[in-house]
Amino acid sequence: MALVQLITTGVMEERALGRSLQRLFPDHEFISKPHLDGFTSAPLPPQPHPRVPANLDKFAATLIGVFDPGNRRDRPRPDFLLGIDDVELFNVDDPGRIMTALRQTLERRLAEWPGNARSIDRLRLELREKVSFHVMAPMTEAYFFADPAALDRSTAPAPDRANRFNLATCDVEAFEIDDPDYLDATTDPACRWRKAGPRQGHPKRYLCYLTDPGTGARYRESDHGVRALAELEWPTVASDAQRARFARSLLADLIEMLGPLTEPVAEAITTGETHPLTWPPPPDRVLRNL
Amino acid sequence: MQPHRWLDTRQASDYPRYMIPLTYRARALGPLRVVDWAIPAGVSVVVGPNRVGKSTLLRLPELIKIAFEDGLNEAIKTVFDGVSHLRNLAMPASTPISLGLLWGADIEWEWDVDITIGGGEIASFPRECLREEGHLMISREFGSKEIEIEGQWRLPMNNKLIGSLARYALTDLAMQEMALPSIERFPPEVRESMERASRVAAVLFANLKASSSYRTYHYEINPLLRFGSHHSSALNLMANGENVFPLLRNWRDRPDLEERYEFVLATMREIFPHFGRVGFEQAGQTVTMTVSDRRWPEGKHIPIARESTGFITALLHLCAVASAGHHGLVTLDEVETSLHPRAIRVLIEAMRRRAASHDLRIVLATQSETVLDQFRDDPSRVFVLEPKQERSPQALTELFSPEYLSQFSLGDLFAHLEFGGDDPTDP
Repeated sequence: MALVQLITTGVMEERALGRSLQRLFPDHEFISKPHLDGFTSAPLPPQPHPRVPANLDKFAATLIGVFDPGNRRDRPRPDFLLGIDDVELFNVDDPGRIMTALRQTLERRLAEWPGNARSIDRLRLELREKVSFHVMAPMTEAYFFADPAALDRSTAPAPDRANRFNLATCDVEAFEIDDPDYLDATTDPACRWRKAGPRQGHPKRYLCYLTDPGTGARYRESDHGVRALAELEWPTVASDAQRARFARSLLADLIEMLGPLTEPVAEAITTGETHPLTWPPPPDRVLRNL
Repeated sequence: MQPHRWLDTRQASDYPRYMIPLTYRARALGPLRVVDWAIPAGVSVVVGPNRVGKSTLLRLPELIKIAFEDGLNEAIKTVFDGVSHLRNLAMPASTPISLGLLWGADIEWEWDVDITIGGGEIASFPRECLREEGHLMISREFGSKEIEIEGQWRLPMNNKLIGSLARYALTDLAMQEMALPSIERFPPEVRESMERASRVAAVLFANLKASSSYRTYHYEINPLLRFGSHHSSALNLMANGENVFPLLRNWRDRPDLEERYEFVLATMREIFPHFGRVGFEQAGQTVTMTVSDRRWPEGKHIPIARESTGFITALLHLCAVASAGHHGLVTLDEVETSLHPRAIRVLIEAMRRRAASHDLRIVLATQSETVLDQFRDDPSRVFVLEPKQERSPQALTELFSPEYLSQFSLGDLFAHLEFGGDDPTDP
């Protein structure tokens, strides 16, 4: 049995992503530490601040620190570490910026990391073999729209408005809505889905819209979101071979880490395309897949 | 009747005080399982999840001090509100509840006492022992009205702790005519070791006596602001802070203590840059304070009742620290309450300066990332309490290498449950 630790950037992922992946890999254990702040909610790379470390910097240091020999030894170290963040909207036009920014930050932090050449070489090796970084595109809620049961849970007891996301024509990772009632409604700072900011391509806002009877959105990440993600059917999400490529990258990476899934599930996941930014691994990688 | 020549009958206060390396011990006591706590000189901090015993740990020095001064019963009553639920339920029943101290530099001394509960109170004549370099010098079996010296010489002993023998026991013994013939029969080497124990215990007692314990949540801020303080000649801050106004005035008016007043006011001006002057007003037996701000017209001031909670909290913390004389120990629980991060930084820096100039030990308990981040340059001063530790507390540098810690904000590691939290991976 392997122990897989998740480093997430949201309360929903912290509480439910491990449980959802554990259903696919029941012989292994997934654990989550308290989530970090995400680093993709602004255009990357981040503008450096003279005194305050960027979230990206903290994220990279956390990935490195888990396998640093100076980390505490009285707790079990994970066999593998998965860092997960959303693509979000600011970098959706070029998700490669996320990987580039993280990779550069990891390289910079590793160059500064204390230790002798041997210990740093060993740390680099551990990062290449045990640590991965994956993204949810554009954010985790998108995948609920690919799994009807998850969508039911996220809008329970029932949506207050009709869902106009077209799964037949649209990849959830390129989330696009053709719903004028949602897109054209006037801005209202007190309303979670009508406040200023982009609505198109934003599945979380659309869930708020779907669960708003006119008195405020019912959708809560820490409640509906957790229940939907914990039970998410990844094989259903990844059932179209050309879609959900970032999600399939994550699953492909996990299969290589932890061994094959049961056959019927494996077929749906393994026959499709992965996203080249996150799987397969590049030759000059700093992490397993980066 | 004059005490016998070998008995050191000076009071603890007669001894020159100097800081001795001192380890506090507790076993199966309330939320504490196994505690061996060596408090370093300077400012240190204790962190841990809720319900792990931080507040109890911080009161351990006070508990032992009161036990020495007024007996175990009084100490338990003061700190734990009585004996009920005193035993740590996670410890085996065979482990006695106990307190202890380990001290000394060239020669190591060790004192332990068991806390036995009977009839709803602490049983008299507890099992107790004093060791020098591991060698049993003086001991008492539970329930015995005699102490045993060097394993063979017996003397009658009242219910005082033998750990406090410098203050009570030997003086008392000297006054007991019945005991003197016995003492005379002791061989010279036993008398010498008794004298040594007496002197060492006196220095220990002087150190214990110089400890005080404050908890932000015990400060009675609302009554203090509304009704002021009772007139008092106090020179030390009470645990609930209620004498702060006459205390400050007393310090100001006494040349030997004026530096305490200056320390408090100067630090308050560092924390609150526009803070101007203070004035004291007395009506009958009530003393209160006024505050001016440098942005206000000359001569304008407000009563302290109109000041912010953060202002009065910082004032009380500073008075708590200034109350400690040289070589003292001050513990402050929840130091961050009501304070802005900048105020916390300035306060801790001022505490460090005060600790250095007065040879103090100051221990803070906190749940604040900002407080923890003030210890980045010396993480060995961060002590971690966690539920499954075999021995508590552990210095942060026992858990992580200093190189590892240098890569992170300690506050971030704490918030991320890398230490001082309930580990979610632990079933």
